[in-house]
Amino acid sequence: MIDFSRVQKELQDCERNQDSSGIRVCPKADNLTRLTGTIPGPIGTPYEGGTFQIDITMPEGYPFEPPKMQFSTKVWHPNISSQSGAICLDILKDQWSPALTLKTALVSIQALLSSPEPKDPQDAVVAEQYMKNYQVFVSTARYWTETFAKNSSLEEKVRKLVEMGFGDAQVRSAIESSGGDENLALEKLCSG
Amino acid sequence: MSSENDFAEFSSMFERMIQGRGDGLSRFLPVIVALAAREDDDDQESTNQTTNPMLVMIRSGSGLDDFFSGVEKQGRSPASKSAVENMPRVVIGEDKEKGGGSCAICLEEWSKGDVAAEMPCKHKFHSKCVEEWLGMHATCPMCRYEMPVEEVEEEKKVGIWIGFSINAGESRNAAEDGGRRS
Repeated sequence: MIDFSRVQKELQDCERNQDSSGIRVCPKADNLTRLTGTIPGPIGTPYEGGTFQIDITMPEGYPFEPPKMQFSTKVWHPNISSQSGAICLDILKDQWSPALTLKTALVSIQALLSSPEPKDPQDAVVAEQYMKNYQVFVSTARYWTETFAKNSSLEEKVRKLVEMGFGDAQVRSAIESSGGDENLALEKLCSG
Repeated sequence: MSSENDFAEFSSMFERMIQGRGDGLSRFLPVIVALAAREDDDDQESTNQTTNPMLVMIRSGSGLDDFFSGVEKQGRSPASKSAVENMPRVVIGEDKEKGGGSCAICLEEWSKGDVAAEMPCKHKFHSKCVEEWLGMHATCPMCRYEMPVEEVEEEKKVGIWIGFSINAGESRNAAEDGGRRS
Protein backbone atom coordinates (compact mmCIF):
# COMPACT_ATOMS: atom_id res chain seq x y z
CA MET A 1 0.00 0.00 0.00
CA ILE A 2 1.42 3.37 -1.00
CA ASP A 3 2.10 5.64 1.95
CA PHE A 4 -0.01 8.51 0.62
CA SER A 5 0.53 10.67 3.66
CA ARG A 6 4.25 10.56 2.93
CA VAL A 7 3.69 11.42 -0.75
CA GLN A 8 1.49 14.32 0.35
CA LYS A 9 4.24 15.52 2.69
CA GLU A 10 6.81 15.30 -0.07
CA LEU A 11 4.64 17.40 -2.36
CA GLN A 12 4.11 19.99 0.36
CA ASP A 13 7.85 20.15 0.99
CA CYS A 14 8.52 20.64 -2.72
CA GLU A 15 5.90 23.37 -2.80
CA ARG A 16 7.34 25.11 0.27
CA ASN A 17 10.97 24.89 -0.72
CA GLN A 18 10.82 26.10 -4.28
CA ASP A 19 14.52 26.62 -4.42
CA SER A 20 16.88 27.68 -7.13
CA SER A 21 17.18 24.10 -8.40
CA GLY A 22 14.00 24.56 -10.42
CA ILE A 23 13.01 20.95 -9.73
CA ARG A 24 9.27 20.42 -9.30
CA VAL A 25 6.86 17.58 -8.69
CA CYS A 26 3.18 17.83 -9.58
CA PRO A 27 0.44 15.22 -9.32
CA LYS A 28 -1.08 14.15 -12.62
CA ALA A 29 -4.35 12.92 -11.20
CA ASP A 30 -6.03 13.21 -7.83
CA ASN A 31 -4.94 9.82 -6.58
CA LEU A 32 -1.19 10.63 -6.31
CA THR A 33 -0.10 7.43 -8.01
CA ARG A 34 1.02 9.25 -11.14
CA LEU A 35 3.03 12.43 -10.99
CA THR A 36 5.14 14.59 -13.23
CA GLY A 37 8.62 15.75 -12.32
CA THR A 38 10.30 18.70 -14.00
CA ILE A 39 14.04 19.31 -14.08
CA PRO A 40 15.92 22.09 -15.81
CA GLY A 41 18.88 20.98 -17.90
CA PRO A 42 22.09 21.62 -15.92
CA ILE A 43 24.06 24.72 -16.88
CA GLY A 44 27.24 24.05 -18.83
CA THR A 45 25.87 20.86 -20.42
CA PRO A 46 24.23 20.23 -23.81
CA TYR A 47 20.94 20.13 -21.87
CA GLU A 48 21.22 23.73 -20.67
CA GLY A 49 18.15 25.80 -21.37
CA GLY A 50 15.90 22.76 -21.72
CA THR A 51 13.10 21.75 -19.40
CA PHE A 52 12.73 18.01 -19.01
CA GLN A 53 9.54 16.27 -17.94
CA ILE A 54 9.68 12.97 -16.11
CA ASP A 55 6.76 10.57 -15.74
CA ILE A 56 6.55 9.21 -12.23
CA THR A 57 4.52 6.15 -11.26
CA MET A 58 4.33 5.26 -7.60
CA PRO A 59 4.66 1.53 -6.88
CA GLU A 60 2.44 -0.20 -4.31
CA GLY A 61 5.34 -0.53 -1.88
CA TYR A 62 6.42 3.14 -1.86
CA PRO A 63 8.55 4.29 -0.02
CA PHE A 64 10.03 0.82 0.40
CA GLU A 65 10.22 0.41 -3.35
CA PRO A 66 11.66 3.04 -5.71
CA PRO A 67 9.32 5.27 -7.71
CA LYS A 68 9.23 4.38 -11.40
CA MET A 69 10.61 7.29 -13.37
CA GLN A 70 11.17 7.83 -17.05
CA PHE A 71 11.68 10.81 -19.28
CA SER A 72 8.65 11.89 -21.28
CA THR A 73 10.76 14.59 -22.94
CA LYS A 74 13.04 13.10 -25.55
CA VAL A 75 16.67 13.33 -24.48
CA TRP A 76 20.01 12.28 -26.00
CA HIS A 77 22.08 10.81 -23.18
CA PRO A 78 24.05 7.55 -22.75
CA ASN A 79 22.07 6.48 -19.68
CA ILE A 80 18.62 7.38 -20.97
CA SER A 81 16.84 5.52 -23.75
CA SER A 82 16.41 7.81 -26.75
CA GLN A 83 13.35 5.72 -27.63
CA SER A 84 11.49 5.14 -24.39
CA GLY A 85 13.03 7.59 -21.93
CA ALA A 86 13.95 4.73 -19.56
CA ILE A 87 16.64 5.78 -17.09
CA CYS A 88 19.61 3.70 -16.00
CA LEU A 89 20.29 4.93 -12.48
CA ASP A 90 21.13 2.73 -9.50
CA ILE A 91 19.06 4.60 -6.92
CA LEU A 92 15.96 3.96 -9.03
CA LYS A 93 16.76 0.26 -8.86
CA ASP A 94 18.71 -1.70 -6.27
CA GLN A 95 20.26 1.29 -4.52
CA TRP A 96 16.93 2.84 -3.55
CA SER A 97 16.48 3.73 0.11
CA PRO A 98 13.29 4.88 1.81
CA ALA A 99 15.19 7.92 3.08
CA LEU A 100 15.34 9.14 -0.51
CA THR A 101 12.43 11.17 -1.85
CA LEU A 102 10.95 12.08 -5.22
CA LYS A 103 12.87 15.34 -5.00
CA THR A 104 16.22 13.74 -4.18
CA ALA A 105 15.68 11.17 -6.95
CA LEU A 106 15.05 14.01 -9.41
CA VAL A 107 18.18 15.79 -8.14
CA SER A 108 20.10 12.57 -8.87
CA ILE A 109 18.65 12.44 -12.38
CA GLN A 110 19.73 16.03 -12.90
CA ALA A 111 23.22 15.06 -11.73
CA LEU A 112 23.15 12.16 -14.20
CA LEU A 113 22.51 14.66 -16.99
CA SER A 114 25.72 16.43 -15.92
CA SER A 115 27.80 13.27 -15.57
CA PRO A 116 26.94 10.53 -18.04
CA GLU A 117 28.23 7.01 -17.37
CA PRO A 118 28.80 5.67 -20.89
CA LYS A 119 30.28 2.44 -19.53
CA ASP A 120 26.93 1.50 -18.01
CA PRO A 121 24.68 2.56 -20.87
CA GLN A 122 20.94 2.48 -21.29
CA ASP A 123 21.20 3.52 -24.93
CA ALA A 124 24.11 1.76 -26.61
CA VAL A 125 24.04 3.98 -29.71
CA VAL A 126 24.31 7.17 -27.68
CA ALA A 127 26.99 5.68 -25.43
CA GLU A 128 29.10 4.64 -28.39
CA GLN A 129 28.82 8.07 -29.93
CA TYR A 130 29.72 9.64 -26.57
CA MET A 131 32.91 7.58 -26.35
CA LYS A 132 33.99 7.60 -29.99
CA ASN A 133 32.85 10.96 -31.23
CA TYR A 134 32.25 13.29 -28.32
CA GLN A 135 31.77 16.44 -30.39
CA VAL A 136 29.03 14.84 -32.46
CA PHE A 137 27.42 13.63 -29.24
CA VAL A 138 27.42 17.16 -27.82
CA SER A 139 25.84 18.68 -30.90
CA THR A 140 23.23 15.92 -31.15
CA ALA A 141 22.33 16.30 -27.47
CA ARG A 142 22.11 20.06 -27.91
CA TYR A 143 19.93 19.70 -30.99
CA TRP A 144 17.57 17.36 -29.13
CA THR A 145 17.41 19.85 -26.26
CA GLU A 146 16.54 22.66 -28.68
CA THR A 147 13.98 20.56 -30.49
CA PHE A 148 12.24 18.69 -27.70
CA ALA A 149 13.00 20.35 -24.37
CA LYS A 150 12.39 24.00 -25.13
CA ASN A 151 8.86 25.14 -24.79
CA SER A 152 8.91 28.42 -26.57
CA SER A 153 6.15 30.89 -25.94
CA LEU A 154 3.36 31.55 -28.42
CA GLU A 155 4.91 34.85 -29.42
CA GLU A 156 8.25 33.19 -30.16
CA LYS A 157 6.53 30.59 -32.32
CA VAL A 158 4.62 33.29 -34.16
CA ARG A 159 7.77 35.31 -34.70
CA LYS A 160 9.69 32.32 -36.07
CA LEU A 161 6.96 31.42 -38.55
CA VAL A 162 6.39 35.03 -39.63
CA GLU A 163 10.13 35.27 -40.29
CA MET A 164 9.71 32.37 -42.68
CA GLY A 165 7.43 34.55 -44.73
CA PHE A 166 3.92 33.66 -43.61
CA GLY A 167 1.34 36.25 -42.65
CA ASP A 168 0.75 36.99 -38.95
CA ALA A 169 -2.96 36.13 -38.89
CA GLN A 170 -2.40 32.99 -40.94
CA VAL A 171 0.38 31.88 -38.56
CA ARG A 172 -1.75 32.46 -35.45
CA SER A 173 -4.64 30.45 -36.78
CA ALA A 174 -2.33 27.62 -37.89
CA ILE A 175 -0.71 27.44 -34.43
CA GLU A 176 -4.09 27.51 -32.77
CA SER A 177 -5.50 24.73 -34.93
CA SER A 178 -2.38 22.62 -34.30
CA GLY A 179 -2.75 22.81 -30.53
CA GLY A 180 0.41 24.90 -30.17
CA ASP A 181 2.65 22.46 -32.04
CA GLU A 182 4.80 24.68 -34.20
CA ASN A 183 6.04 21.88 -36.45
CA LEU A 184 2.49 20.84 -37.22
CA ALA A 185 1.57 24.49 -37.77
CA LEU A 186 4.42 24.83 -40.25
CA GLU A 187 3.22 21.76 -42.12
CA LYS A 188 -0.25 23.23 -42.35
CA LEU A 189 1.10 26.54 -43.59
CA CYS A 190 3.23 24.83 -46.20
CA SER A 191 0.40 22.65 -47.47
CA GLY A 192 -1.63 25.77 -47.97
CA MET B 1 39.85 -22.07 -34.47
CA SER B 2 41.00 -21.78 -30.93
CA SER B 3 44.10 -23.60 -29.97
CA GLU B 4 44.32 -26.23 -27.31
CA ASN B 5 46.50 -23.90 -25.31
CA ASP B 6 43.69 -21.44 -25.05
CA PHE B 7 41.49 -24.10 -23.66
CA ALA B 8 44.05 -25.43 -21.26
CA GLU B 9 44.46 -21.93 -19.95
CA PHE B 10 40.74 -21.42 -19.92
CA SER B 11 39.98 -24.59 -18.06
CA SER B 12 42.53 -23.83 -15.40
CA MET B 13 40.99 -20.42 -15.04
CA PHE B 14 37.59 -22.08 -14.78
CA GLU B 15 38.94 -24.32 -12.09
CA ARG B 16 40.33 -21.40 -10.15
CA MET B 17 36.99 -19.69 -10.32
CA ILE B 18 35.21 -22.75 -9.01
CA GLN B 19 37.69 -23.05 -6.18
CA GLY B 20 37.49 -19.41 -5.35
CA ARG B 21 33.70 -19.43 -5.54
CA GLY B 22 33.93 -15.75 -6.10
CA ASP B 23 31.58 -13.86 -8.30
CA GLY B 24 34.02 -14.17 -11.18
CA LEU B 25 32.32 -17.25 -12.51
CA SER B 26 29.04 -15.59 -13.25
CA ARG B 27 30.79 -13.04 -15.42
CA PHE B 28 32.28 -15.78 -17.56
CA LEU B 29 29.30 -18.06 -17.85
CA PRO B 30 28.16 -16.65 -21.19
CA VAL B 31 31.67 -17.23 -22.53
CA ILE B 32 31.75 -20.76 -21.21
CA VAL B 33 28.41 -21.58 -22.75
CA ALA B 34 29.28 -19.89 -26.04
CA LEU B 35 32.61 -21.67 -26.34
CA ALA B 36 31.04 -24.99 -25.54
CA ALA B 37 28.41 -24.46 -28.20
CA ARG B 38 30.91 -23.35 -30.81
CA GLU B 39 33.22 -26.23 -30.25
CA ASP B 40 30.28 -28.53 -30.62
CA ASP B 41 29.41 -27.06 -34.01
CA ASP B 42 32.90 -26.92 -35.38
CA ASP B 43 34.00 -30.37 -34.54
CA GLN B 44 31.10 -32.53 -35.41
CA GLU B 45 33.21 -35.12 -37.14
CA SER B 46 35.78 -35.48 -34.47
CA THR B 47 33.59 -35.08 -31.46
CA ASN B 48 35.01 -38.02 -29.64
CA GLN B 49 38.52 -36.75 -29.82
CA THR B 50 38.26 -33.07 -29.28
CA THR B 51 35.04 -32.27 -27.58
CA ASN B 52 33.33 -34.04 -24.82
CA PRO B 53 30.65 -31.78 -23.47
CA MET B 54 29.20 -32.80 -20.19
CA LEU B 55 27.02 -31.46 -17.49
CA VAL B 56 28.34 -31.03 -14.03
CA MET B 57 25.76 -30.61 -11.34
CA ILE B 58 26.98 -29.34 -8.06
CA ARG B 59 25.57 -27.40 -5.19
CA SER B 60 25.89 -23.90 -6.35
CA GLY B 61 27.49 -20.96 -4.70
CA SER B 62 26.09 -17.55 -5.20
CA GLY B 63 27.66 -17.18 -8.64
CA LEU B 64 25.02 -18.88 -10.71
CA ASP B 65 22.08 -17.47 -8.81
CA ASP B 66 23.46 -14.01 -9.38
CA PHE B 67 24.00 -14.70 -13.04
CA PHE B 68 20.42 -15.71 -13.61
CA SER B 69 18.72 -13.26 -11.32
CA GLY B 70 20.98 -10.41 -12.34
CA VAL B 71 21.31 -9.16 -8.82
CA GLU B 72 24.02 -9.14 -6.27
CA LYS B 73 23.31 -10.22 -2.78
CA GLN B 74 24.68 -7.46 -0.67
CA GLY B 75 22.11 -5.23 0.92
CA ARG B 76 19.23 -6.99 -0.74
CA SER B 77 18.67 -9.74 1.74
CA PRO B 78 16.54 -9.24 4.83
CA ALA B 79 18.37 -8.33 8.00
CA SER B 80 18.61 -11.11 10.54
CA LYS B 81 15.65 -11.22 12.90
CA SER B 82 17.85 -11.23 15.98
CA ALA B 83 19.73 -8.14 14.81
CA VAL B 84 16.43 -6.36 14.27
CA GLU B 85 15.08 -7.45 17.64
CA ASN B 86 18.28 -6.43 19.41
CA MET B 87 18.21 -2.82 18.28
CA PRO B 88 17.61 -0.58 21.27
CA ARG B 89 14.09 0.86 21.33
CA VAL B 90 13.60 4.39 22.58
CA VAL B 91 10.27 5.90 23.55
CA ILE B 92 10.21 9.49 22.42
CA GLY B 93 9.63 11.74 25.42
CA GLU B 94 8.55 15.33 25.91
CA ASP B 95 11.97 16.74 25.12
CA LYS B 96 12.10 14.64 21.92
CA GLU B 97 15.24 13.09 20.62
CA LYS B 98 18.11 15.18 19.56
CA GLY B 99 19.28 15.32 15.98
CA GLY B 100 16.38 15.71 13.66
CA GLY B 101 12.69 16.34 13.79
CA SER B 102 11.27 13.40 11.94
CA CYS B 103 11.51 9.76 10.93
CA ALA B 104 13.25 9.68 7.54
CA ILE B 105 11.06 6.82 6.33
CA CYS B 106 7.51 8.09 6.90
CA LEU B 107 8.60 11.76 7.22
CA GLU B 108 6.32 12.16 10.24
CA GLU B 109 7.69 14.38 12.97
CA TRP B 110 8.57 12.63 16.19
CA SER B 111 5.80 12.90 18.70
CA LYS B 112 5.66 11.93 22.30
CA GLY B 113 5.19 8.21 22.83
CA ASP B 114 6.55 7.15 19.42
CA VAL B 115 8.78 4.10 19.58
CA ALA B 116 12.03 4.61 17.73
CA ALA B 117 14.58 1.92 16.96
CA GLU B 118 18.24 2.90 16.98
CA MET B 119 20.44 1.13 14.48
CA PRO B 120 24.09 0.30 15.26
CA CYS B 121 25.07 3.34 13.16
CA LYS B 122 22.95 5.43 15.57
CA HIS B 123 20.33 6.41 13.02
CA LYS B 124 16.82 6.34 14.44
CA PHE B 125 13.56 5.56 12.73
CA HIS B 126 10.10 4.57 13.85
CA SER B 127 10.42 0.99 14.94
CA LYS B 128 7.69 -0.23 12.62
CA CYS B 129 9.02 1.81 9.67
CA VAL B 130 12.55 0.48 9.86
CA GLU B 131 11.42 -3.07 10.61
CA GLU B 132 9.49 -3.11 7.35
CA TRP B 133 12.57 -1.95 5.44
CA LEU B 134 14.96 -4.32 7.21
CA GLY B 135 12.59 -7.16 6.38
CA MET B 136 13.63 -6.59 2.76
CA HIS B 137 17.08 -4.98 2.86
CA ALA B 138 19.76 -5.25 5.51
CA THR B 139 20.99 -1.67 5.20
CA CYS B 140 20.45 1.60 7.01
CA PRO B 141 18.22 3.87 4.92
CA MET B 142 20.39 6.87 5.80
CA CYS B 143 23.98 5.62 5.53
CA ARG B 144 23.71 2.08 4.09
CA TYR B 145 25.34 0.63 7.19
CA GLU B 146 25.11 -3.10 6.69
CA MET B 147 23.20 -5.14 9.22
CA PRO B 148 23.83 -8.88 9.53
CA VAL B 149 21.71 -10.69 6.96
CA GLU B 150 19.31 -13.52 7.55
CA GLU B 151 21.20 -16.74 6.92
CA VAL B 152 19.61 -18.64 4.09
CA GLU B 153 20.07 -22.37 4.14
CA GLU B 154 22.62 -22.79 1.36
CA GLU B 155 21.93 -26.50 1.10
CA LYS B 156 18.49 -25.87 -0.31
CA LYS B 157 19.83 -23.92 -3.21
CA VAL B 158 20.97 -26.23 -5.93
CA GLY B 159 22.17 -24.85 -9.19
CA ILE B 160 23.60 -26.30 -12.33
CA TRP B 161 27.02 -25.46 -13.59
CA ILE B 162 27.66 -26.38 -17.13
CA GLY B 163 31.16 -27.60 -17.61
CA PHE B 164 32.84 -29.19 -20.58
CA SER B 165 36.09 -30.84 -21.28
CA ILE B 166 38.16 -30.78 -24.37
CA ASN B 167 40.70 -33.17 -25.66
CA ALA B 168 41.56 -35.41 -22.83
CA GLY B 169 42.11 -36.01 -19.28
CA GLU B 170 43.66 -32.91 -17.87
CA SER B 171 40.83 -30.50 -18.40
CA ARG B 172 38.13 -33.09 -17.81
CA ASN B 173 39.64 -33.82 -14.45
CA ALA B 174 39.60 -30.16 -13.73
CA ALA B 175 35.90 -30.00 -14.35
CA GLU B 176 35.26 -33.15 -12.38
CA ASP B 177 37.25 -31.78 -9.50
CA GLY B 178 35.06 -28.79 -9.63
CA GLY B 179 32.05 -31.05 -9.67
CA ARG B 180 32.98 -32.79 -6.50
CA ARG B 181 33.69 -29.63 -4.69
CA SER B 182 30.64 -28.35 -2.90
